[in-house]
Amino acid sequence: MFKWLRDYLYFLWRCFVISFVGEPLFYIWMTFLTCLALIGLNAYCKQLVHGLMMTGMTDHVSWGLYIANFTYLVGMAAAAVMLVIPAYVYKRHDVHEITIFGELFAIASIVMCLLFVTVDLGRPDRFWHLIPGIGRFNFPISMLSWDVVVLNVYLFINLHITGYLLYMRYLGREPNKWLYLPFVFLSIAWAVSIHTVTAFLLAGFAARPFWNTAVMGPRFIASAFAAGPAVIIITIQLIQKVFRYRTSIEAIYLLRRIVQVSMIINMFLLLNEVFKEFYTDALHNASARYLFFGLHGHDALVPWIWTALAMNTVSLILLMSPWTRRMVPLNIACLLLIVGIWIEKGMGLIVPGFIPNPLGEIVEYVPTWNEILICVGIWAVGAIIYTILLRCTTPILKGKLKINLKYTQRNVSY
Amino acid sequence: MTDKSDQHKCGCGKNNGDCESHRDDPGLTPVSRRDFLKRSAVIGSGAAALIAAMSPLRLLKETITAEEFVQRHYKEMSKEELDKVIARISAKVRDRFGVTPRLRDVKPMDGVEYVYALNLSRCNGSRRCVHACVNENNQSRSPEIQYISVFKMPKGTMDMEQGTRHYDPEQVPEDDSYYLPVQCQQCENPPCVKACPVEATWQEKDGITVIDYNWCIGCRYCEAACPYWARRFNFTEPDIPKERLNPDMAYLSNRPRPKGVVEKCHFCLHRTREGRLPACLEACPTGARIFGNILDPESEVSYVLKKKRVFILKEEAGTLPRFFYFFDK
Amino acid sequence: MVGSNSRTTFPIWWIAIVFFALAVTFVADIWGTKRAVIRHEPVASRHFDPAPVRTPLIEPEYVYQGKLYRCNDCHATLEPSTIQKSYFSSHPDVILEHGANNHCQTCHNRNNMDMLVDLNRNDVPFAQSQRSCLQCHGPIYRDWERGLHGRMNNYWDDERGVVRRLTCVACHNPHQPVFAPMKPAPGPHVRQYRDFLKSISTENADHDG
Repeated sequence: MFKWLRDYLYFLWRCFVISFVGEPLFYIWMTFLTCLALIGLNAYCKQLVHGLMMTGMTDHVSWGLYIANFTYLVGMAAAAVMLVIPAYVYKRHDVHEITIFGELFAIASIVMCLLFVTVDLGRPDRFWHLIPGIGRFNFPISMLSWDVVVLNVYLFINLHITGYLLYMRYLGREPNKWLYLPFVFLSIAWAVSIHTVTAFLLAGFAARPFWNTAVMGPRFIASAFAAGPAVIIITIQLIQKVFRYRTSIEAIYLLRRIVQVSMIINMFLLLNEVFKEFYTDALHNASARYLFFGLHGHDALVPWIWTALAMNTVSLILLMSPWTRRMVPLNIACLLLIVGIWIEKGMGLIVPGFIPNPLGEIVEYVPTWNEILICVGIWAVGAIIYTILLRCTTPILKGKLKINLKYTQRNVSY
Repeated sequence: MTDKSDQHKCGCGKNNGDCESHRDDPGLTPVSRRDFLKRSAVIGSGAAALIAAMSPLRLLKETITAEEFVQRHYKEMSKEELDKVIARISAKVRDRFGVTPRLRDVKPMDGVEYVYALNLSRCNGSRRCVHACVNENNQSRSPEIQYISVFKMPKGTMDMEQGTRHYDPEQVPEDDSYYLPVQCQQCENPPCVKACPVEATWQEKDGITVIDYNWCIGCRYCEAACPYWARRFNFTEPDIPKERLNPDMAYLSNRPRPKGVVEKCHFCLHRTREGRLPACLEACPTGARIFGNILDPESEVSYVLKKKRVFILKEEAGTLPRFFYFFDK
Repeated sequence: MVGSNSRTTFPIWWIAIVFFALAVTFVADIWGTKRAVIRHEPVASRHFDPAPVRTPLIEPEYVYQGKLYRCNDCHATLEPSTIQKSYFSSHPDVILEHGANNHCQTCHNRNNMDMLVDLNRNDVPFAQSQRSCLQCHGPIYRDWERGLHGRMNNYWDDERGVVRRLTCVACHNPHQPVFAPMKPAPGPHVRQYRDFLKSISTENADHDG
């Protein structure tokens, strides 16, 4: 009677068990990540006790590393769509088989996003005020309430698609198109929306001229579609090596093409922004002046943004050259781009928005160790989640982990 | 939680990562005593590390009671519920400060909309308003929270970036400067209210934008949205000297705030809604501050708006402030 | 990678050891930053005292060598000086710097020194000194009457309490009417990034607004 439920629970149990089994490298990796996560937890407990004074944030710079990472990771999550579109819209079969890794990456990214938002809250105990129906949700006026909705829905869409497809593979059954294809196409629109809404979150206020720009949305999308596929290029190779899961080189070349184009658009939009700020040369470019050249002797971010620009430029040149058809230069280009965009979009976008503050006062921001450890901890949690998801997924895809017919026919209860 | 014995048995060699496929049920296989010990050691040390990692929580001073946790939004509470909450907060204040506060909920008056006007020709930058406000509204002394920022501006500009809050001459006013105090402008179109994801801040009918400190989740989005830098966040438990506590309190205004919530100027609503003048005005030595009801055509502020050339800060932000500035000579 | 004999060669004990060592570091509290709030003493109460800068003279009284006199106690017999400030032998504290108004009798009734006068030589009691001031300062007086110049105290709403309007002399010394400069109250504390960098490893920001 409850056979389907029993099968499903058994599937989850087997996934759970398999998450703790692996080669020595797997143990070392997971122990390392667990340690980092615990260190982050320790730092977060301190923050819970003493408040956000344990961070480098002030009333002047009221958002810092947490929201910077959040913004970046929303982009990472949205980037999964760059695998879904070729696979489902353009029917690229070589991409189809790696799409699921992109979707799993999106799940891990969204979980990290939600964690970064949680640690940024002054009153995490009041999280339930955000739950529609129980709390008091300022929808559709507040952009943050939009973000809560789109992020959670995106998480569920991806959990549903990957969970359903994997479970069908586990059962050895053909998936029902009606049960997942509509969600796949919904996820395409949704991926764009999560990052657009996050851009609107920043772009919506006259108080911060640095953010109040129409190219914020396009810039977010372009940078996400560059950095996200770059991460996936590297992960696919790792999956090939570690889990011995074969993927075609053509899929990676397609991703390389996507990163190329997105990066060109990203740099172009950045150029537009820079032109508008510096050619106009009106008072509202104070934040941009602070970011690129320093303002009244305050120049904490100047080395960062120029490093980021250099990294982005080098990686763009590399990507445009035929060199990167080889894996090592491609990986170098991808790493440069991932770090470059992280700086540009995280520290280089969130922090200067607050400097100078709306009343023209300059107070710089530097994260504390506690804050950095919490961020590291959250990244470790994300890596743990992604590793476990891959650990369970690859045997299923390879057909090694599947329902045991003999077992399901036995009538045992446990 | 490792299960090595199975891997050993199945002997699937280099594919040991996937060897579960050979098994019936990894959870049911009997484990050897040695494996059991190993597993216990890993789980035990893992648990120890987890508990040790969470050990800073033992320093948590304020514990959140179930009652506080489920407390509803200010606007959703009935009179009785609110009375209970007020009694609870009063008891907390008494425990912490040894003073029984006169804590109550003050509702807006009918036919009243507050407007502030500030005569920049008179302001001499003495910062009396800043400290009167801190004292009246039980703001944290360390870390320091102040609702009013007085800017010393060089004559000949309205560019805030050229001003500074940091001046300390022997005497004010200085010849080359004028002084521009900025606090919450009580906008008619407040971006902070738009920003709040949980409606913890809203505009009341007398024009004052208030915060329910028991509903705010501390996301600081309102702080990013405010063009006047009027909002302050309690980065830690506010520190108020016992002897300086002002026991005249209202729920939506100057009761001591908890850690992790946003606060801001509320035009001293516990005073002004009972007809009194705000603390910053009463402390102003030069009489630069003018406060009153704009709906009353005979009021002082109505006269100012009619007779003086007033202006507002950051008009381009479209916030429609209820705080007007003017020069008078 | 280790093969089928992984069970015997792969020491799982080290995971327990790593976790245990980590637990010790947590107990020793070596990670992250310590709580550090810079203490600020509360400012002196004179910095927010709502009392006006002057205590105006409501009665025509004068303290001379520790004794209180009514003005007419002396001026019944002593003719007040008609000319300049340098002759004020009995009033060393009175320095007349009132612009073009440099004669005592412009405001004081020289026939009855317990009274002030207006330009029509009508008596004005000390408690209503603004009636003298308005003679020359018409526009300012009009603003003051409408609550625009000068300060109010207590209530804005006259239905609920007394609206107390301070008079001219509560802020202006009639002999030197320019509002006196004053020492500003302490300014805000903000620590800057450079000081902060020096202490980054041990302290967190002090978060002063």
